[in-house]
Amino acid sequence: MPTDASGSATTTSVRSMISAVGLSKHYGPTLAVDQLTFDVKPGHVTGFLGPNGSGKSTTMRLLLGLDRPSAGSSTFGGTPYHQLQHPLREVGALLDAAYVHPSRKARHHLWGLAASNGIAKKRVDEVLGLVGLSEVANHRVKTYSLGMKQRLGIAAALLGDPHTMILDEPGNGLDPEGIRWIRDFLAYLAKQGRTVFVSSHLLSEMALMADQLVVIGQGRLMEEGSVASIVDRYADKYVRVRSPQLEQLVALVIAKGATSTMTPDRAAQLRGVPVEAVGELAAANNIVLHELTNESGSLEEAFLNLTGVAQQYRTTAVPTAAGQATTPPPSSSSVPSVSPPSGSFPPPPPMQTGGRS
Amino acid sequence: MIDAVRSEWIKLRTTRATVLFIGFAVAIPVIFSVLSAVLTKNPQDKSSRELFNNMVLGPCYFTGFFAGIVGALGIGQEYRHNTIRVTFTADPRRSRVLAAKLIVNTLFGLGIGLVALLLCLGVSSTILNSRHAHMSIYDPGVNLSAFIGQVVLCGLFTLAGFGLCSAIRQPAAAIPILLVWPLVVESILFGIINSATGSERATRFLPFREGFRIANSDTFDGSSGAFGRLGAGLYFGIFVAIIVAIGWVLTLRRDA
Repeated sequence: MPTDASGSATTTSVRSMISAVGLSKHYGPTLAVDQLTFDVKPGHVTGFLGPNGSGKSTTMRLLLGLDRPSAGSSTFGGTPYHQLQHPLREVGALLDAAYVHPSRKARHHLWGLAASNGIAKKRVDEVLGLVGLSEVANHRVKTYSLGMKQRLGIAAALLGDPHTMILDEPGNGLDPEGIRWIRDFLAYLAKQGRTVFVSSHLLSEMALMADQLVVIGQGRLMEEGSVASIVDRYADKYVRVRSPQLEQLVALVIAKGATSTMTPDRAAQLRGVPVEAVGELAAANNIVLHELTNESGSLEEAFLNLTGVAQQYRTTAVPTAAGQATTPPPSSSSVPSVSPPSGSFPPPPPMQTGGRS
Repeated sequence: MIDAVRSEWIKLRTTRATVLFIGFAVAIPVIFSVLSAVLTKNPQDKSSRELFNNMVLGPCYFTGFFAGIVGALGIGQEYRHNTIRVTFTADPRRSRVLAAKLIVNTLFGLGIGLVALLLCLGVSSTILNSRHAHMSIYDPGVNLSAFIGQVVLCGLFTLAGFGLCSAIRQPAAAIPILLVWPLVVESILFGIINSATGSERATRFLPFREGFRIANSDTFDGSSGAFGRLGAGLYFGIFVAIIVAIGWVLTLRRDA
């Protein structure tokens, strides 16, 4: 539960905070996690970002005591995971949806987990209903699609109604409705004061889901903070302007100390000047404006800029029709950085009976 | 601990492969026992001890192997499907999980050994009675301790399978080892040692061979230099305990 018997928010916050201090992990000569120190605070959805092979999954396994750290430690509210009396009641974890015996029925899988932490069987039916798997609960897991397995994994994480959730790529395999559900659900949990730590490769999804970020690269902490502050710091920001008197306007703005870049569609990207100043300058000089937009970069752009030096696995350039190689340009579309928490918990989309969805 | 045992019990009985092997462990000896009871010529002329050997103890050797497979699957399937990570997340005290698995699997091994023996005994006795032959576990000459030894052997085989699979984490490797070692490797070693020493005395250190002797209805007087039934059981038990200990320590030390 998110609150203790006295309902003290402070106590709950302390209990549910995830702390990693100097966490390191060697696999032979490979250093997978390097002196990682961060905190995940309650009341937020904290995203865990990093390029492929950056050590996200290893870190999550270290937090849960599945892998032994080479150095450092991690705690949940000050208690190491292996010392938690009933871990499922404190921390709900989903590492990989495939970690289920294929010939076991979903209900039996959850029964086994529930029994290990003294959780009543009726809670199994509750969580199956919560993730929309009630009708297929007696089907063997091998008949499930990836999305259904993902829901089953989320159900397992919710079994003990924990105050802390650790989810590794929870959106994998989910359909758009399922992704929206998990996003709203995690926001709902965070709003209740729980700690939610979630990794995802889907940056646009993360931008909608998380309000705090821990970014790692090559096992090291690259950045920690709110999504807005990281986007603000690392993504390109500019004012886009189109005008029949563009040259005149650009000259005026440059005179104010800004820089300008022309785009192929006869617009200018102005940097170093606020959008309000550009508007006022245009009005003062009777310049007609066809477009005046404040472009803030996306989380994807911020992430790429932030982790560029830490990319372990790089893609090759994409060949163009003309036979030239070019790297894909960063997206210019603006992605809202913070999703307002859902006021009400939406019912999950039910799964179809009879197997794969 | 009770929660952990309950959890392992649910896992064991809800896994299809395990249930299938438990079915084999009981059904196959019963089939052989029935065939033996039906096809044996002039059973009324044979001693109760011989009938008991052929129709109860002999067919139940299979049960020991299947019990070993069930033990190997008890933890091996967790590694094969990576559910061990879910298990150790739900209960990070690994020794408690291992102890629970050990208790449940061993009780299961002992249980299927007992059930298979009782079924073989009941079915073959019924058939023999209809053929005017008589066999009973209480008959003079029939070794009740061999019956108990067979049950214990099933339990020890389960432990051996469990320990072996804990150590190597691959049921596809552990199960063949569990079958090939006693049936092939020790047979070859027996032949070599016997030829080299000219005596069976040295072969008493072949662990599975000694293990099988605890379920033998022959009397043990120690004259051949072999261990007695209790000694053989202890020797095999210590061997199995070492395998389990190795698997246990490795499970505690390694990443899940």
